[in-house]
Amino acid sequence: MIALRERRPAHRTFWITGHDAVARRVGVTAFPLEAVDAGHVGAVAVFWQAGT
Amino acid sequence: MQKPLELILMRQLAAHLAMPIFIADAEGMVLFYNRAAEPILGRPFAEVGERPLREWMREVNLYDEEGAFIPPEERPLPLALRDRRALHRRLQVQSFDGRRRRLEATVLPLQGQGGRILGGAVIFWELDGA
Repeated sequence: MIALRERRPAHRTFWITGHDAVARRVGVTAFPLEAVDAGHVGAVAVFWQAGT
Repeated sequence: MQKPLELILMRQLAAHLAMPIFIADAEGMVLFYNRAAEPILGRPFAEVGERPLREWMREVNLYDEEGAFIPPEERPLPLALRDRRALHRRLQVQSFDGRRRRLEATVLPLQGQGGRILGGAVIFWELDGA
């Protein structure tokens, strides 16, 4: 939401529990999609399972 | 030699975004950084061009958050490629213009079909008050 609302990149590490009820620690980096020729068009979040 | 499609597409994407992005291949060649990265790295990519990462590392110094020098083999991109995992770090970079800047950087290994490592992408941004 930071990337969308404030139009700036952000990184956080947190725990999520998915549909399989397993808690996983994930790293997430999100950044606004500012196209060179089209302005703000959205955001991307990349995430991965982080070490405990 | 033709680069893998994934690297070509990543470069195309980076070229159209205003987020600083740096791309290297699995053979250790710096392939590209976009215009948004140029003010942070201190020199336009057109002047620097594709070059081996080991050459790059002699000219661009990285330090950890506390200012301790990070040797080449412990830098985030080689680590991400070696361990095949993404990582995120707060860093200081001293680039071509000699100025030191504080950054956050996320490094993503780029894996193709079959899990083959094709290279890595670094998405980074300068911290406020740097």
